[in-house]
Amino acid sequence: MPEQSNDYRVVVFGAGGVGKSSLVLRFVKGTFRDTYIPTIEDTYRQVISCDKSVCTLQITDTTGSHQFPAMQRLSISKGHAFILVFSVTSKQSLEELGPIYKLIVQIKGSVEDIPVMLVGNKCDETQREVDTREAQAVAQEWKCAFMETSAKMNYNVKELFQELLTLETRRNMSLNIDGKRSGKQKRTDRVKGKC
Amino acid sequence: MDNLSDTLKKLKITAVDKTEDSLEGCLDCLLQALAQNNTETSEKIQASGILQLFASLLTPQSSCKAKVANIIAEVAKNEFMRIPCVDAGLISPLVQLLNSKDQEVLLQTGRALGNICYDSHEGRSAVDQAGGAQIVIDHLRSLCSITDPANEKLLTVFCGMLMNYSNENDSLQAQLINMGVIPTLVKLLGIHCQNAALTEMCLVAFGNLAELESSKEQFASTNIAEELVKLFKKQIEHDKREMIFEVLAPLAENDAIKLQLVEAGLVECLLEIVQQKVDSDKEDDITELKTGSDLMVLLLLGDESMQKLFEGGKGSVFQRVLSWIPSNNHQLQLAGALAIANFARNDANCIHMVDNGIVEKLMDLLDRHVEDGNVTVQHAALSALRNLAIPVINKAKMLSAGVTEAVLKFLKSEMPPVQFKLLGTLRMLIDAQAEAAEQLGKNVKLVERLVEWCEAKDHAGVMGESNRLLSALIRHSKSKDVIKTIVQSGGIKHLVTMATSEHVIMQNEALVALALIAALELGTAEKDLESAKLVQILHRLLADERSAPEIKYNSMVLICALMGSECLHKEVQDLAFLDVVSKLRSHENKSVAQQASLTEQRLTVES
Repeated sequence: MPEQSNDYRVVVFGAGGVGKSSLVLRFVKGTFRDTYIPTIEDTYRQVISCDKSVCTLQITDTTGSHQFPAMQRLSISKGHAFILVFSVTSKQSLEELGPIYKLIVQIKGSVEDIPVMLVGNKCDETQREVDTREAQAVAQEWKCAFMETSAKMNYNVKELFQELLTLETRRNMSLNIDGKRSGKQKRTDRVKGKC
Repeated sequence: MDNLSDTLKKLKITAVDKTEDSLEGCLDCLLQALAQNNTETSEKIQASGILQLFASLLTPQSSCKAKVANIIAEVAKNEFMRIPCVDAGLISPLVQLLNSKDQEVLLQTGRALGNICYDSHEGRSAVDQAGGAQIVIDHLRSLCSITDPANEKLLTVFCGMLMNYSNENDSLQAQLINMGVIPTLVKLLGIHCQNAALTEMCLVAFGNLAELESSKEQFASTNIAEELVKLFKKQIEHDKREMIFEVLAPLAENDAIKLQLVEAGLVECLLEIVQQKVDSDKEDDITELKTGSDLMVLLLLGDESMQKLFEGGKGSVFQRVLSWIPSNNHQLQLAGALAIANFARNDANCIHMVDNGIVEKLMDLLDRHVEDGNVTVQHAALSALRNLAIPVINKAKMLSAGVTEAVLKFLKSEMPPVQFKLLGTLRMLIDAQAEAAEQLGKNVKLVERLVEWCEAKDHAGVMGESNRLLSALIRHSKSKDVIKTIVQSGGIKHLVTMATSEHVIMQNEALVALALIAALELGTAEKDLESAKLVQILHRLLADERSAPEIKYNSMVLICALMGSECLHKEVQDLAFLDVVSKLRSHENKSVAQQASLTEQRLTVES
């Protein structure tokens, strides 16, 4: 029903098992309608405002693609935004993102105009190997944003993608979930007072 | 605070001994300390390890169970206390207490469970395992019509508990819905509409559940629409209205509820809001204007609700929306244009609107947004024109009103949604309009832009529409000049690629346009057709069993037409066309079979 505007490619990087797929799935399930199919019908169309949830996210999950460096380069050069996922339960998964980050900088020239988000997934787990401060320091060094998520608990997932788009200053984009987000904030604050 | 540690020590002993009098005193002391400084007291309570002892004080026989539940409710206001409460095994006895008949016990237990569930996965899953939700829903159902203040307070706490229990958790929301909580909450809203706190809590709970797709059908079978509109009419405060909007917006995505909201008079409220807020520059008013007009557009997305509001083009709602278009407020212009675009969803409405001057209004609006225009307004107005251009009798009227010229001003736009609708409008306008198609087809600027957009791989919609418009210019004009322009601009290769589109309609449009090119300007186009490998593509289309009959038929027509070109004829000879074509003579579709015979003869004669 809604029509397309921008295809917007978000590329998700991360070592095996850090929860890239579940993060993406959780998000896609929660927010996204079916991807756009070019109209071939010559009939009447419903019309909604073009600033509403019509940006199609193309999420490229690069699982295992380190075996194909060419593919990795291609997804970087075509990507509009990047999510670098590690698991807070594995220090190594954070370390493995270093080369990918360098490759992004190399291909894109600099990351200053590009939304890049470092994401510590599985923050619900108690067996941590990477604490929040440690990851924040990496993000600072990389001049990118940082967030902790839990795909399992659906914690910070919508917020992650929303934040990523907020980082994108050159395009006027919105997933149309800000309303809900602030609503949720209001809601929970209120409930705490009541009980 | 000084004697808190003494109290805690004493409590440890008395809790085990269960010496009731001193126990009561200790608990009172704790409650006092919590009232003074909740965080610090909670820290000490946790450090003392008495949380574990509370479980034994929560038994139905315990005389101080309400007080203990109260203390748990207080400490669970702190995030760091929630998991310890779960780990101390408090959830199961608390859920047991939900079976109590004592109102105070129910109230404190509801508070305790609600606070433990707040933003806490562990809390929620423990309450889930103990089966707490069903008991609370049963209470809500049996208590919902009692309106004394104490009962309303209890109902409010229970609603809040369910809210905290299911917030942000799809599967627990689904669980509540399956337990039938929705009709009960709607009933509560109706009965207790005078109680602000309870009403608010119901709204919050609705907002929580309405996001789930599966809830909407259940909502649709209640009188939620009526209750919400009733409530909305009474609200003057911005925050309260926003709260209702938050529930209305997800609910209004359901077509049945759309119609119910329209019937309950929501539109009149929305129009009034717009009227009140349009000239204000206060932030709250601007938000409300946007929310209100957005919701208005949302209601028009349903076929039934839209038609009801159109009322043959004479309805007051339609008239009011019409007046938004010439306003100076971008949000209203946007909402007005979107509304018109959605009213324009059947022939009768479109014809009526065009006869009554809608085109001029939209063109004026577009004209105000050419330089540094607002993209959403451009997109909305173009979308409206596209839909309006669909009925055959509207096309000539819109062409003579100068719509093409108005629309072409946006050819330089870099915004895909605008490009997409611009293309759609032009394609609808020239359908079966030879003169207009010829005029546009000779417009070099347009054709060059189309060719450029045919390669806009990032935007599937823009790419598809430009290909289709390119083909339409040729098919509807049947003009040599148009073909020459397209050849010169490098459009041929795109038409050839379009013949391999995943959509049969597009494949066919490409083949028909290519057949016209072959018939009218083969000499001009042959080089481009050759380098685009048209002959090979046609061979593939004919050999592929999955090709639709019309694709096979038109491919063969095209093959015959291409034989007029020496270089293409040679390519046809080099591929084994006779084999594939002779097989098609027995095709189940008669036209295909017939054309196969003709083509076979032609191939034999010319070889």
